[in-house]
Amino acid sequence: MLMTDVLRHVWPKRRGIEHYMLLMGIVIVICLTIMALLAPIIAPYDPIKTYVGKPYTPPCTEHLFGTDRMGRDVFSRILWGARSALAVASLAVVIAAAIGIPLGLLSGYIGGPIDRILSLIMDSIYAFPSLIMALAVAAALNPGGATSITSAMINTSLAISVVYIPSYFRVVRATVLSVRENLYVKAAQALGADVLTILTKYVAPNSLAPAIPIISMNFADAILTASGLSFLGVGLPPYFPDWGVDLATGWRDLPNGAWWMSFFPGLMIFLATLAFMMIGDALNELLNPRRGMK
Amino acid sequence: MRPLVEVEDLKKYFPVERSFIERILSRKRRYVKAVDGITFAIRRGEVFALAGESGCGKTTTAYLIVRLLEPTSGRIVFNGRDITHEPERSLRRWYRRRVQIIFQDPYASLNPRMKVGEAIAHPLEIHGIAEGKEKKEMVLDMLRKVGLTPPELFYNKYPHELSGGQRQRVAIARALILRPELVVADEPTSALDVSIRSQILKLLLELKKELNLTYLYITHDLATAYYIADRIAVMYLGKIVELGSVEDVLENPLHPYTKALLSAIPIPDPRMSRTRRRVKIPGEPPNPINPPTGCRFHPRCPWATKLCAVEEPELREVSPGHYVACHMLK
Repeated sequence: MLMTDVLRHVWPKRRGIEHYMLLMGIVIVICLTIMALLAPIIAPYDPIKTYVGKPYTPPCTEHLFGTDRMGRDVFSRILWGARSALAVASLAVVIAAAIGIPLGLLSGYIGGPIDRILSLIMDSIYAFPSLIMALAVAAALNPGGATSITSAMINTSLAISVVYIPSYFRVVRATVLSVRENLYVKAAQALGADVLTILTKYVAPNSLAPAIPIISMNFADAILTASGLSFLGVGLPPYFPDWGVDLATGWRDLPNGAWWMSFFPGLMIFLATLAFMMIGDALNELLNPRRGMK
Repeated sequence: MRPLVEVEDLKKYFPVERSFIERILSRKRRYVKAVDGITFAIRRGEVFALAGESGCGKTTTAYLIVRLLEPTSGRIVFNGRDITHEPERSLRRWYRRRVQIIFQDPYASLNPRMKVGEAIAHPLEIHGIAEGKEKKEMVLDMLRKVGLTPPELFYNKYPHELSGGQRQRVAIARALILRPELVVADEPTSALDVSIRSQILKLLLELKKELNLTYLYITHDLATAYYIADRIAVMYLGKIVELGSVEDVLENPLHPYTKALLSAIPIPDPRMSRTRRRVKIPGEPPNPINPPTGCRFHPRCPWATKLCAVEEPELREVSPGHYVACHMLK
């Protein structure tokens, strides 16, 4: 019953621009997901294999997005790259939310010295420039390069997630501060519920809505940061099909006129970021409780 | 027989937040004296009303007795056991089952994300009383008892689908499913439409009979208190000024404040209303951070003398079971 209410709220008869932003964002994300899932079937060439075509071939019918300096097919690499982009970004967001949200709940509800200490830690992470922070964590996790692709992806996700934990923490904590003053929380205490029950059954369900737009915005930012880390050489290894890696290796050939090697990865990063940003912005607008008053 | 609840010289002071500059200048911490030394007892099986204006400390007293707040000093004895400073852990084990509270605002006291059935069943889960089919049966039975019929229909509704009166019935069901001995009702009708109020009051009285309950009924409305209560205590600025049976206190009020409150009740008949003698009190209740010296009521009292400004009157028995705190009644 509540689900249909939410649906009616998000997709009503009278729609504004944010409803179409949401739709467009979701469509792009679905396309990206299909790309990532079907990459092994659609991709015309092996993305890692070198010299499948003549190096520096501009876009043509055989190589839709051209080939790079080692003769690898850019189109195939783009398709496979969707996998690592989505995997790294979602893992980073999941880790950040899984740590930030519970800590925010606890800190906001319990208060006192625990709250002070946690807030201090989170604020100091937040105050640090995010890319430099992620860079430092990635460098610490990957001394001298990761041993395998999987561990490189996990380490990159971890490095990114550290940067996002404070945003979940702060938003959830702030909401809890007002939710915990509700009479129904007092009622739960009077019924004899312990702190954990009060948190999970009474406080959390009423405090998590503001974190939803952050999830999608962080997703967008995570793709950018992952690209940035790969670009700087602490993310994924250079042979691996990844938009950030390709952008990083491709831009060096720009002066030779080989624009396709960096343009297409850049375009994909732009599209994915835009899609998640649109979803995030739209949700932020649609889930705002004061919206109805306009 | 020993009373169910004994309250002795109960006090609750809330510290006042100080500004940064005040802290630097290290001025003394100030306190809001919400409840400032009250003594009363609730007998088993009675309805004890606590009446007074907003800000007089009646809700704070209610929260102290259900131990949602910890008293600053004094004693609360429940069934012979001192629970004044009992820690939350041990309260959960026994006290929370035996003492329940119904809040003023049924729009705020129910979790918006919990269905009616879940909300009423939750206390049973917390205390591990019943599970599965038995639990559902108990909830349906309770829904029937509070007049939400057919119970199956209400079981799966969310609070926002119900009216104020229906919500308050859910809150009552949730409080009573644990079969408590004492129910603290904090103005349970004041957020409701006048037409619904008498229904809720009737329901409370019916349930009291059926389940052998004792009520502490908090209200600002003396007419309601007269209807529901056996005994009443009138509070002013954190103190009890008059205490006794409702007949004594409301039909023969002795304290000037009680008289003033009573004469503030509107009478529907204009002729009767004109002829009645009214006790008017000027101004508003003073600031509880810095209450007046002597009798707290003296700046507004029509009878005040010099003594009242200096010495605080004690609560004295003027006739059997009727207590008044006033210098003028000697």
